[in-house]
Amino acid sequence: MFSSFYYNAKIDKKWSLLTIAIVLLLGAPLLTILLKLFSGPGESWAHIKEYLLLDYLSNSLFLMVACSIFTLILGVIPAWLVSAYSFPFRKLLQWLLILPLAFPNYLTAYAYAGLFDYSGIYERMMVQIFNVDHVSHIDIMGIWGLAWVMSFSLYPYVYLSARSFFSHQSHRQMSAAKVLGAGRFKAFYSIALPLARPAVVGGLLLVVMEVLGDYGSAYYYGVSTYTTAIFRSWFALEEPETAVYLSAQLCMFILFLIVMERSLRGKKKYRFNSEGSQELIKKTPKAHIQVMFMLVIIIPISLGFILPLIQMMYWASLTFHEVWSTSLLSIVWSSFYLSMITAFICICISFLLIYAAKWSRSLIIQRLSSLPILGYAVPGVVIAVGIMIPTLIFDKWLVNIAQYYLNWSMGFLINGTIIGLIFAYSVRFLAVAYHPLEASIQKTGMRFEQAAQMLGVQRWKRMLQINIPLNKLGLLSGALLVFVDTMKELPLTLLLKPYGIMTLSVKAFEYASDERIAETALPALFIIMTGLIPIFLLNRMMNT
Amino acid sequence: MTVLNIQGVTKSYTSDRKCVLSNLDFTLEKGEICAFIGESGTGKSTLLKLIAGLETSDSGTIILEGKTVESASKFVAAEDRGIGFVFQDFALFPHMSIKKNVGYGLAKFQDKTARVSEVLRMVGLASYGDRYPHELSGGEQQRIALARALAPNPTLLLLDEPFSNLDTALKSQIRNELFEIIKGTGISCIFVTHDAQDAISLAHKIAVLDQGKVVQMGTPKALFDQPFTPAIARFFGEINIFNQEEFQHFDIELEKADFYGIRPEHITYSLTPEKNSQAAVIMGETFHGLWRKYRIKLSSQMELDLMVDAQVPIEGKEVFITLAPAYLLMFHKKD
Repeated sequence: MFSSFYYNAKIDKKWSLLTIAIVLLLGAPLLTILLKLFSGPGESWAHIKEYLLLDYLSNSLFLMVACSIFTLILGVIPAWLVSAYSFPFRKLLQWLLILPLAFPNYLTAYAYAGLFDYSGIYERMMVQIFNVDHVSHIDIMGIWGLAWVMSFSLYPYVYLSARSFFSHQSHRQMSAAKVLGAGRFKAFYSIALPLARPAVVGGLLLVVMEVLGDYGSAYYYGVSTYTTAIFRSWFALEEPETAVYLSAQLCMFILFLIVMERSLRGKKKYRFNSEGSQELIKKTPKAHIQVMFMLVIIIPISLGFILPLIQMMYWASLTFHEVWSTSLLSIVWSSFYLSMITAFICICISFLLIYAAKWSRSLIIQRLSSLPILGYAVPGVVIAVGIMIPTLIFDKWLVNIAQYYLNWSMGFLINGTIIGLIFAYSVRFLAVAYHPLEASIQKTGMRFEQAAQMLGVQRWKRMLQINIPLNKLGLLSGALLVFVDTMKELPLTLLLKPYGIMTLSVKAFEYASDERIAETALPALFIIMTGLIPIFLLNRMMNT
Repeated sequence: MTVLNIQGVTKSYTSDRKCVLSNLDFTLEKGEICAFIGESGTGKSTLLKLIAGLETSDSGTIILEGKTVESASKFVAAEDRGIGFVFQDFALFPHMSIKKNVGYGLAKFQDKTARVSEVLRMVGLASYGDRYPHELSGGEQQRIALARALAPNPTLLLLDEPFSNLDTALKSQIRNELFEIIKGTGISCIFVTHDAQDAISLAHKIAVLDQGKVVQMGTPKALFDQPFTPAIARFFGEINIFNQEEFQHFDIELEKADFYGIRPEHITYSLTPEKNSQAAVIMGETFHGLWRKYRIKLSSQMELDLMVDAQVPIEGKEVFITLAPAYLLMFHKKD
């Protein structure tokens, strides 16, 4: 394969080289981290291993397992109900179920801390409803509370994958089960559920990646996890080597999960004919059952979205005058332009990578080109650590060169600058742009481009006149999703944000860390509102 | 003058390493219309893409009008070959009007508008310029796809399964119209099809592809009358095949061959015994519109198909058949 790449006159080398360059650039942080696995940890490792590691490990594993079980229940049951039954407000509820995605989980965590605080909304409501002096306090600030909060914030990942499977791909098998005399419930647990397993596991993997990558919620709830440990060894212990070592372990674990998921999917090949996919025919149950279904669905919506939103709005009303200022607007603006630039870069790189793979005629390039999307599986904190090390070496080298040859004392080019931050965002969120775009390009196919090619039109013109207009929707939705994810991102921004630049997520985090939790509301609401836009579009796309 | 010369072209796909085309040679003269036929997966479409430059071969040379466009050391990109291509699903740009679609390859033309009108007139859709592809019927889209491919005056026209997307009812009409236009321009043309009827009625010559090789090439009549192999014969219609031993039962004096064949409609039959006829029992029958097909069994236990005019079905359970030597096809095993 390699020899054919080097000596084949027919391979378009320009695109191959471009792909290799992009893959190396985006892969550098991850590679740095993984290589550090072999060079060993810093001095404090012995201490961490002796006294702390077990705690980090058990907490992270507990959260992973608990959130998987909770999100599975919270995601699959509503997905089945909205796909298989017909009841009032079904369409609205089906949409509302996705809304928790607009909340980054650290904001849900802050809101819950407020809801269950002494004299919080929960206690005051209880006092008023039951007319008592005092209700027993629920302490949410612990690992169980964290698992609860994260599950209500993350269940839509499972819900979305299960729903799209149930409603569009299980039609034939369900009809067959029905013809063979199985009732709805039997058909659900014996046919639809086992068949939906790969889709559901895919959704769970996203949940687990979010749980392992979380910093804001765990930090605020005082739960030590692998991710908080990486922060602590970097900042408190001032030992980057140990931070990198922990990152590498976390990274290996996540890669292991991905490989497991793939092989699980590989063994049982569930193939579905998407062309023949029809929507599942919905059954209308008796009125009291309809009401019960609606209540079941309203639970995750209210606990995952409505309650936290009410808490945030309540706080916002309390702190509006204090927080609303021109400096907040400048924070909104910096979040906005950082997200815009990242979205633009991610969509351009994805577009180039996907087409370069198609043009290069080399199998090796085609395989390589999809590697950078692995960045999404890597927690933000790991990417941040992975970027700091190589860029610091590069920046120092550049500064020395400038000093030596030009006698110019320049600052760092990447490390601690906007360039570094956007680079890190791009590594992390490339996949978010890549997937919708790839789906769009897959659907469009290469035939229009080939038709233009046969008419003698050169490549750049084909890009502008054929490929971009035909994939407009894919390009836009990819960019929008990256935009929102960048707005929400916390740990990576916290580590890499240049001095003097503030984003909404970091501002909310700072308020929370200063125990000014109510002040988080206004920045939080900005993030949530932006997050609602793609959810709205996503739902429209799923329905069409 | 030779327009296209293919020498020893081999192609396999890396995914399964199966050889799609192996050491294939082919030439096309100016003004000639050639059909590549074969079952699906025989490499017809791949060959078309190799000629177009949309795929690359593993080895071999492709020469277009005397210029090498692909060899071990050279590869001319598809956009620089000057070949017209009509895609199976037409691939009309959905976001462009018909006028823009047809004019898309005319950057080098001085008077673009005039050329667009000219080719639109040629395909009989002069007034369609401002419409969009989705507003057109399948047949109209096909004519626009042809107009678009012909507009830049290509040296060679390639059509990939041109009729597979059309309704059967319209197919023969559109097929004839389309090839009237192509013949009118005098352009050299290759099309691939899995339908032998398309090839017979439209092409000057037919090349039969099997397992990546041209197994027979010639005029439609030559291929129909003297197919080299039972597989080729079967491609042009149903046929009964016997081996030497089975053939001896008929007691016909004929040159020695490994296999003999006769088409079901060429078997003569009668209800009473005639000279040299053999008795056969009718096992079953199926109705085929104009024809009625009978499955019959001879006393030698050999089973054959017999096609009879549907208007005059066979009454009874027994029939006497004769094989006319003029209709018998002979096949020789390859060495």
